[in-house]
Amino acid sequence: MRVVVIGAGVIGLSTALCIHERYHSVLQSLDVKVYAERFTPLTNTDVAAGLWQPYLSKPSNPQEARWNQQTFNYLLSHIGSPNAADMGLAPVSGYNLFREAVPDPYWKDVVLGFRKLTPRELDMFPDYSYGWFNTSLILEGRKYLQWLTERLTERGVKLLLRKVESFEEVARGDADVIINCTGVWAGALQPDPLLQPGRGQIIKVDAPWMKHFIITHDPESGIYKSPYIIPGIQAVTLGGIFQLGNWSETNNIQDHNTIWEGCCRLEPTLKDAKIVSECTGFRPVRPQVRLEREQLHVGSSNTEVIHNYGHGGYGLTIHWGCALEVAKIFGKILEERNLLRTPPSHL
Amino acid sequence: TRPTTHWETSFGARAFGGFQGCLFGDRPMGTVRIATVGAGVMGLSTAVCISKLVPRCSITVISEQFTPETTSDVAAGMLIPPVYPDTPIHKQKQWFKETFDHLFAIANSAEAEDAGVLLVSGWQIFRSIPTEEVPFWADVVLGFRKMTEDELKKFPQHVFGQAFTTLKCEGPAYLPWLEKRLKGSGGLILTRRIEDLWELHQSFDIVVNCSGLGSRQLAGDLKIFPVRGQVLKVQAPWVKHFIRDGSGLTYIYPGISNVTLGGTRQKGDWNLSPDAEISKGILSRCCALEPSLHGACDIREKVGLRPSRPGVRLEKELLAQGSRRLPVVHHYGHGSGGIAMHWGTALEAARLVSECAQALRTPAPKSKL
Repeated sequence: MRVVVIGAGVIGLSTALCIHERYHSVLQSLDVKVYAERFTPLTNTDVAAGLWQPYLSKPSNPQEARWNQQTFNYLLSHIGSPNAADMGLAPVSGYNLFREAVPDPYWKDVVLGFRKLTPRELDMFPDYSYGWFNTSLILEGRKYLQWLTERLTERGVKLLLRKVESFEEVARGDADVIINCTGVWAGALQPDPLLQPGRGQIIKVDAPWMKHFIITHDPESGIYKSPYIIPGIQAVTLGGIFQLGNWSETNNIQDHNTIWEGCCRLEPTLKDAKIVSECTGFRPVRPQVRLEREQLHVGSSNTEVIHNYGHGGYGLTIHWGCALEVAKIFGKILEERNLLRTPPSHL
Repeated sequence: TRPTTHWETSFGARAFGGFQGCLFGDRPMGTVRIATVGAGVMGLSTAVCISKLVPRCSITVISEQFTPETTSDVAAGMLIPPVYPDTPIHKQKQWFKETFDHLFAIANSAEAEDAGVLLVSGWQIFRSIPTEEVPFWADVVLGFRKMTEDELKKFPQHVFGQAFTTLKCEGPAYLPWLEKRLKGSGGLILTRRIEDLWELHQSFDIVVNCSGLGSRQLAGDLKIFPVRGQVLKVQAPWVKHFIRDGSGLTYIYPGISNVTLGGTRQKGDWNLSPDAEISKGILSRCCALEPSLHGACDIREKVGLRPSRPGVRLEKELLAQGSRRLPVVHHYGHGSGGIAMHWGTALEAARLVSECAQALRTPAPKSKL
């Protein structure tokens, strides 16, 4: 059984790992390869601040809520391991701020210690009059991708720098099953009018006194368009840019100013913080995640493609639940082809 | 005769005409000359409070040790107060609240980084349900509540916990910040070991004694004794929460540039050298609470002697020797609650100094008090 995963962001690498973990010992032979044009630190995952937090409103596909929760619980189970920091994983608490009262989010019981902000806490943020406090997790994109790369390499999964022009090319040469984790570039392999880039720009600063995340919300602007401050393991990410349809990969000075002014207004202590880096990334925005299988007819054989892309600004938040779902579909394919010797564990 | 001892200055303290005038010549009418002994958090904060509260005074901080060599520099500086058995609870709460409010304002201002003040959230956890589930300071810190069952799962040996957000005030930044403030309002800083408060009688009108354990000698106070604390300062920047065992013996306090792991409480132990076995024990206890600390590096050992006393000594005393009189305000004995209580007690000490200064200025049939 030859599997090729296209894409080496968080979705591609975690899906590759999930499949290998579950099926390596139950198949006669399992060869998993990852093809990608971009590897860490050049993926969109590397730009993400890495805070586990879904969008506020319920997803149109209720499975996504479940995948988010599965991811949180999976990551939480690694807290308490000595290696958590190597994964880029750490608990972090913080504030979600609003200009008016809002209903509690559907994930309030997934995170830890969810509660409303007290008046004295709100005094710290004069532009906001309502908010939440909770403990969540940071999963730093770059560190996590490095960790996933190590785990995959240990298992003999090869990561290859390769620009894929079509599914057919991969089907013809190498693969029985293709996992399409091409993120915001999925349209190049198969047009998808529902997929758009949600351009983001972030500034990383040295501000080690910041121990909390602070995320503001402005219903008029929309998600990620309002300032946010998210501490990572070494640096603090400042953001607040979300531009649908913008493919510009270069940092923009107006966006820089928007982020800087918004975040300094929110947190005056940042005024003198030193800027460490600035980058741009593209959230793979879609009304819902595309996670489904598709059969390709290449010559005389059938190649299965499992699509797993379109995770918007919540890729890290949802990644493991999606990887498990892909593994389930993969298992079904194996059953159909009578390849399973014993039932797989973990499912 | 004038004292011929040379007054050494430190940290670029100014030796200007006014100073000379204060010590050796006629001083400007009505200037009360105040000396503060000790340059830990008490000495410096009291000096700053006095400079704001007492008009027409000169302030000189005199100490043998300065930052980063004081006890205040070793302390993690977490605002989680202890209980002083001999001080009424309402007073402790007042002092804690005043300190919290003062530091909270700094934490939310552009000075936060310079002053070494930051907000930290975390958990205080107990192996058995404490008699007092809600401490007196619960409504001073932010967001105080009991931990949920899910939160407690992270600590399988513990059955109860409190979650809250509090402040951390770091000596190595805060003390220089206070010194800067003091010098900005004309205060002076001198390096000198005082053996006897009477040494100051000639040059100063009021002495503020913030000498901590030094008061055993300077004030003959045998109620004050050291409680030795050993800590490790480590690099573990992924730790964003504090974790404190309710016993107070084991704690993890993330700060601006390091994480403090502790600790010990060794009564009557004056030894300032770190003990390697104790360090191993601290690391092991902290790793049990937070296993990711196995990856901590750049581990530095520090020792501080908490100036412990059944209650904080905050009172006036008029020292008398023959016909000589020396008003003293004592301000020491905060044990493990120095940083947590400092501003509240400093304000009170400054008020006592103000009373002394008033008395000195009031013409009376008898001289001085």
